[in-house]
Amino acid sequence: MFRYSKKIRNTCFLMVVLLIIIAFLPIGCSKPADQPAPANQTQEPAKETAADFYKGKTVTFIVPFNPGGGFDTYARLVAPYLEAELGAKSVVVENIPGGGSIIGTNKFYTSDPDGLTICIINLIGTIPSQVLNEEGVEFDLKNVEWVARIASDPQVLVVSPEGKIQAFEDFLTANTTISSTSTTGSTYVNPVAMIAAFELQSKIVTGFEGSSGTDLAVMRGDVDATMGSMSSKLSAIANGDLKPIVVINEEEVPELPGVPNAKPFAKSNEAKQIINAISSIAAAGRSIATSPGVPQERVEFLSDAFMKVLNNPELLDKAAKADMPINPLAGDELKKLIDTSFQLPEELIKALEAK
Amino acid sequence: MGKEKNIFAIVLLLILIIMVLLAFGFNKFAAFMPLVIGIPAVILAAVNIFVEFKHDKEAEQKGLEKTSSKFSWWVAHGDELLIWFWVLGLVILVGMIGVLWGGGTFLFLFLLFKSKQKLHISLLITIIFMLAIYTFLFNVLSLKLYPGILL
Amino acid sequence: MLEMLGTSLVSALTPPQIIYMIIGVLFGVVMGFIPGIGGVFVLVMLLPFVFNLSTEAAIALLISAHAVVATGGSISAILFGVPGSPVNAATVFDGYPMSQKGQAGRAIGVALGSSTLGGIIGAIVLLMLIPVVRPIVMSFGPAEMLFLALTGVSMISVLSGSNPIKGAIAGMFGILISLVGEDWVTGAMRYTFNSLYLWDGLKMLPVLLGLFAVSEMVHLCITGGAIAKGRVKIEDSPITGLLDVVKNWWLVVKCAVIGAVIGIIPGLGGDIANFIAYGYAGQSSGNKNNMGTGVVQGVLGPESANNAKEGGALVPTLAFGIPGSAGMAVLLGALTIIGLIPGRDLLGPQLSSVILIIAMLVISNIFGAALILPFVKYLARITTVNVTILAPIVLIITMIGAFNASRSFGDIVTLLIFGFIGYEMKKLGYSRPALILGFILGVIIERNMWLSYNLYGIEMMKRPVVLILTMLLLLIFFGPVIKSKMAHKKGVI
Repeated sequence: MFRYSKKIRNTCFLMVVLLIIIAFLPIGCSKPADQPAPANQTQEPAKETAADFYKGKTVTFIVPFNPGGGFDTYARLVAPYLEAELGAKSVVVENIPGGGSIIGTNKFYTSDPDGLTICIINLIGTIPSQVLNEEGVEFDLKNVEWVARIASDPQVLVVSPEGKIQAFEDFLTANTTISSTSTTGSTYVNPVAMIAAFELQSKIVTGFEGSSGTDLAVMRGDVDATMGSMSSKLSAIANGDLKPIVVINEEEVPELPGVPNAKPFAKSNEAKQIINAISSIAAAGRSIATSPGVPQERVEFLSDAFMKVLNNPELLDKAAKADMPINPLAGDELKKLIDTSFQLPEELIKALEAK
Repeated sequence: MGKEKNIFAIVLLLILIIMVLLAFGFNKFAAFMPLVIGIPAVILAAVNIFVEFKHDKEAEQKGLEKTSSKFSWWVAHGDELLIWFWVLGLVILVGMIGVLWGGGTFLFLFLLFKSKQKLHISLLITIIFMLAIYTFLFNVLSLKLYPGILL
Repeated sequence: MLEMLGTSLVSALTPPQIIYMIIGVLFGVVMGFIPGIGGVFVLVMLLPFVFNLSTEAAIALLISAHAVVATGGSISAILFGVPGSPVNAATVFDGYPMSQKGQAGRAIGVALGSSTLGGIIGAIVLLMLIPVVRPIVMSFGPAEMLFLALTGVSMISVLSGSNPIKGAIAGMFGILISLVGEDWVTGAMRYTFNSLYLWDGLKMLPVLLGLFAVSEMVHLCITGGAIAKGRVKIEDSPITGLLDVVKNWWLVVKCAVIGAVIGIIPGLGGDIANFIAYGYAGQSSGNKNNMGTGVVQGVLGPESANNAKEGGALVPTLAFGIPGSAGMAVLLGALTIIGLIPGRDLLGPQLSSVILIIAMLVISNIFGAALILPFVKYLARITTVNVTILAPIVLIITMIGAFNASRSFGDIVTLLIFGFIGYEMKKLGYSRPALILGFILGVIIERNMWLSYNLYGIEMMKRPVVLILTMLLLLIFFGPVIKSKMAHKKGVI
């Protein structure tokens, strides 16, 4: 044992040094991207403009889904342009999947209110979850700061071009099956709303894997129809694999000429309310928010940057090639739109709760 | 060995039984699969315990396997327990101060005390490892490393 | 068609594309080698760089990196018993025992040879099926998938080793833990104990890495010494391994076709291809009882299948825009952004891009293996290093990889728990491969069972593919029994 004593002493000394390093270094290293020590600057934020603030910072762009989906592709398309526009060191896309976007949105909601975290929100999934006060929801989308809308997200009902139903009028009266992934998200909320509004005789078959699973089921003829965001179905529609028969959205949808909107079909008051609610959610579409409590100046700066990015001809060209519609909307108008979409009618809430 | 085998088999059986019991509380669609798989699994696990127990008894009677005293149990399992404490320590360290610093600390301590490497060698390996992780994974590939709750 | 093949091969081989291909292969191999960081993450990490490249260069970079991930992952599977990504899981079962026997070089040689061959066959399958893909993809619905998954379950008997009861228990336990989380059919929460982390179920990566990597590292720490026990053999060179592949070329081809077919079917997820190929290789080689002790066929089957699978998986991705796996979903997103829209366009006016993709698959697979080959000698030496230095390093890297599954501390806890379970299972003779196969298949079976029930009811038994698969299932279960009876009779006479 004695011959170790020197070694042990050495070790102890080293341990202490190491512990000190551990205690202090991370403070400097945890945010290596940040420029000069933020500690001094936060005390006098009044003099600092938002543009100065973002210079050289790292902005985290949360996508509450796995890489590869529609939301992810939009985020990754925008990120490099946003980086240049903000003057930030980088805009890092971070995928936090789980719970049908609830986990990622939770994480975003509780992030520091410094404006360095933005999130693309899946409104058709999160608004019903929040209104129904579902388990696990920690966010309140009424409190977040809305930055901009990248694109509206018209919800479309598609059938197989070879199937027995070829028009929405037929769909209203027929006994149909509709494919869906689970009991949350656009493939479920939409058909539930349709059934409640039009008193359809449709059966929802849940359990398909992703929107590719629900689409494939329609192509194969396993089910009659499926519903979901238009942008994920555009290429299949262009290929003639799927046929859109009705669309839900506030505005006209130039990508789908000749496809009727669901609104005129809603005759009763309740039906109108339900379709209006879904259509305002669809209109708010793929929107960007930043954490609640971010200084107003920074929110405006972010919003302006987004609007510039979304009008950049280079980005628009890329998006057009990729069949990704872009129709920007600035923060204030977006907030109005989203506030109305929280007013889900009783009927729809009951139908969603029934599962 | 014999005892440990039985303990693991019994714990496994208990877990399976709990999973089956919980499954009775689900709706009938959600419960179907856990029950169809779980009940035969419980039966098999019980049969397995019985078979092994019988086997051990026979072996014992033949005197092939001595009943282990407390002392020899420690001799046989002390090493294992120690390593698992190290691993547990790593997880706690990582949980507290993140992958980079927790992992680095663990590596240094492990090399020094468990692997009995010389001080400077342990330190060198640790520093090279941490630098490699930091520059390559964190900076170049901007991979997210677990930050730890304290930092 | 052939002329087009020629011209696009020429366009594929311009200097910038070759440079991007080399970068892609290097990146893919290295990332595949690091446990848990292969697979989807390789593509995700390349995405930011892709946007500024030309279409051809972007294809070269993405496809070549993605094609060789499984090749890189096979090396860590063989050397440390730590699968680089889930597609390399089955390689561990025999590759790692080969390393322990001092044949690491040979095993890597086998893996490289069969990966390359498998990758090329996958590319050929893609080339041949692109024009006629529609009926193939359309013939696999929930009922067919259900029976295919049940065929996969029958492989548990091959994987469970010497004790079938314990193997069955492990497999069933695997199926049960795959049911943790939200039930997709009714939305009910099962075994989540109010934890948000468990909503989406246990993640594949921490479970797999825990069962194999953590338990193996702990085991090594206790035994000490080096991974290769005893003398490293002289015949241990990658060339021996390559010769093994040549000797078993027909098995490699068959396993590659299995991999490619499983890759084609969307929704099955490529993770089971290597298991089914492993089971098939075990049964058809007549080495069934030796599987798991370091048999060449046990490395060659899964390695051939997991590289071939990529070619197959590209079929529905390119033809319909329907990604069959998580990796393909990312690739699809990337292709969309660089302006390649899957579907009729890609098979018509943009066909040259498809040919380029196929050419890149072939070239990068060959190049990936050629790149590793000179280093095999040095890599194999790792198995002679003192494990008490190696183990903690591998342990921490494993942790980083597992954390990538969902970026939550829950991943690390899962890793620890399954590390302990895996260690006890290994020691007490429960089959870990059976558990992981049950874990992969459990959800697929349940999902497709309810879908088939809701869609077709009992009518599903009348579907042609289902009938064929049922026959196959019966053959697998009762084939060996009949065979042994026949042999017995012959012996009596």
